[in-house]
Amino acid sequence: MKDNFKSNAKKSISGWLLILPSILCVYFMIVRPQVLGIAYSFAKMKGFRIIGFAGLDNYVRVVKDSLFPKLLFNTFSYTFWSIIIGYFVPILLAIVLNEMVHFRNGFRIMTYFPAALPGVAVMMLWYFLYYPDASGLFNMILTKLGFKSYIWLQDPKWVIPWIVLPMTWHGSGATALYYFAALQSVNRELYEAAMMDGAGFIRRIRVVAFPHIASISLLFLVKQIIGVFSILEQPLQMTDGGPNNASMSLGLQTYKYAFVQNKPQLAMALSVIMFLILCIATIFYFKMEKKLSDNM
Amino acid sequence: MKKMGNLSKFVARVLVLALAAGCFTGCGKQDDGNVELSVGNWPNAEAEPKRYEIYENRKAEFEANNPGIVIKPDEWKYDVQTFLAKAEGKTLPDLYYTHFTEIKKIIDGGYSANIKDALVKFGYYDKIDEKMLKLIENKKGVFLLPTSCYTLGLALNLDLLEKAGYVEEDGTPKAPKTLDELVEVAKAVTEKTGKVGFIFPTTNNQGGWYFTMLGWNYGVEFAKNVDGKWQANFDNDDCVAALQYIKDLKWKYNVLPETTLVDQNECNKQIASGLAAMGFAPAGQLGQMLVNYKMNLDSVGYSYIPAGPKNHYTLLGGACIAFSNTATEKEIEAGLKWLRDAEGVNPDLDDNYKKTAEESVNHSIESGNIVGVIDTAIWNDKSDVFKYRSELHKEKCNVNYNHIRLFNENKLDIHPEVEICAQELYGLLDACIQEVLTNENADCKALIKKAAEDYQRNFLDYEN
Repeated sequence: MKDNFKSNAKKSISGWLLILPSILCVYFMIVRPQVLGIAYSFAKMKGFRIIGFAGLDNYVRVVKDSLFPKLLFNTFSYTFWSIIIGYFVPILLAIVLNEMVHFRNGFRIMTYFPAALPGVAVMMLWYFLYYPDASGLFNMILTKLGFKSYIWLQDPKWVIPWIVLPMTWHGSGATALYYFAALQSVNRELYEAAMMDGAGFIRRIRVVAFPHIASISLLFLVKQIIGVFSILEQPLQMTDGGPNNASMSLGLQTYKYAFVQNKPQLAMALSVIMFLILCIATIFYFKMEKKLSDNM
Repeated sequence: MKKMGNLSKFVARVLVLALAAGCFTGCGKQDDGNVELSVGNWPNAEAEPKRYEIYENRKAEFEANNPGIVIKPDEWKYDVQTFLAKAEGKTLPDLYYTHFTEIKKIIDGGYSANIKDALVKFGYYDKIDEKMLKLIENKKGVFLLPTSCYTLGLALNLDLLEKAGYVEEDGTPKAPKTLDELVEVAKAVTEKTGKVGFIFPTTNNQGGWYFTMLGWNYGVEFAKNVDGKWQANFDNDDCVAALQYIKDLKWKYNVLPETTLVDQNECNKQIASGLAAMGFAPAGQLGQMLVNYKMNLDSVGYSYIPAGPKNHYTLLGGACIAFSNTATEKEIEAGLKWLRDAEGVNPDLDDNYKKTAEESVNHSIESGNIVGVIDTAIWNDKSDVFKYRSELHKEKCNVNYNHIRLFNENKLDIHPEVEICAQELYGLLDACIQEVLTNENADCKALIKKAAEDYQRNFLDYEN
């Protein structure tokens, strides 16, 4: 028995050694930070040093913070607006790409081009487009058309949609390529058959294209919710959460807790709260994914 | 085939050993009698070639004069996003630079070594200015050393002020002496030039930081300690009046820019490019206006902060150095020698100090920066270096001295920064300022009341 174990161990040692680098990477890059993050959220800390056990105090403090309800509302608001503004754009782009006969490659490059730009550059670019005085491009257009200039990112009621817009511009090209790939897999004969039955463009899209991208679009919906829920960089770069916290998100608050207020334990507690909320979306995501693979 | 299998196994084992060796290779300090001192903020050869050359020359000269000390350049500059990770990972340079606003965080976190013994040994301790010492010392020791400091002033675009008739014939700006006069000057600029009269930062906690100064000048003390318990102390008419002042600048006098979410960088840009006439700024920001935004040297003016209805204070800021908490006694002493010989951080007026001071001033002139603004001293009046430095700046002044005379000749009282949860307070005040600048009907009293309540409930209660 012992000899058998030794012999098996000897045989498999090379395999274990080969996967050891990956195990180390997963441990140091994924498992350890997550476990430590959760542990920190229950700790009393001085800087990044644990000095005691805090129980649920950090969670209570985060939730009792007078800003917390606004942060939660804003974060859901980002998610809502990202679906309203950003969810259908990649689908439309993919359909246009799929239906185009001429300049398809050029249009594909144009569609993907914003995704190739660094996120910071995109936000800076749009920050200047939105500039609220006469030097902002959008205000130049408005005033040329005879309208009054508008305060864009400084309008507390609409600042979140204005931030979501460049996010859509930046991200929709890459997502559109997935949809486009899905549409490319549709048998052309189905389109031809629909056309012979007298189906117009809209009907062809509805009865042929949509059923093929329905599963993937559901996955992207869940992925988008998860992604936007932790929004941080965009409001940080464009508004720093202002005006008067109108664009503050839970993600941005974790940044402020950790790096401005120097309280990583609160950042971790808030992150765990976000994680729990996102767990629900993730469970939904995995269920959808399973459904998708079962159908394939 | 079997050979191939053996070869794969051999390659796999070598790879794993190499990886393990890479993982476990430490960067331990060697104790061979030599001191290796890593120095942060080292200039980048491509971004700042002239400064890099100066530093490399200083390093060569220093190492030649101090055998046994090796300077290891480190380009890391203090950055809130990376500081804590580096501090906890023990990868900070042995000697690193930081800002006054970070002092409390560094001392509280234990991220800097106690340098009191070394300062006493070098004869520096007794010569540090008292107000500086208050910032860097606690019962356990001294944890940082200021290298330069500034007070907040009023940056001016003289081209715009001249068009509005606010510059004397000799070039002295008719800068506002009080906050009421600031409104008058700003209105005149806006009326006569169509440009923004005054610009005030509102984001990144900068608006809140400057607002505390405005508050002090209205008679506000933001926090008070009663029987060892901290209390928010700004829910009062004085603070409401200070916020109302900001609100009126926007809605009553219309002298602020249309854009509301601005940081100090944006303020610099607007003043430098002739879009705004005045703004609060530390003297160091004048360099940003000149070097980064190519403002004409002749257009720069600098005056003191206008007085409020009750007080006339300004803010203190600056740079200081810290030794990482892993620094040994030998490294701290080597670091103080480096600072003394190569960077001119030295209360004693010697040839080395004169040389480095002159080198810095010449470099500022060459790079298009302003020379001539005389700020606060790090060392107390027992030290001659402040006098020497002031004279040097006057002598090498590269602008019409009258443009900056008001600042140099009117030294205001410095109010200490809020002692407790300062950054958190600035964040709350940022939000109040943003609200009054975006909402014409904002209720200043209600905003201040809520900010004070939030300051108490979200922050002070946890400190008590």
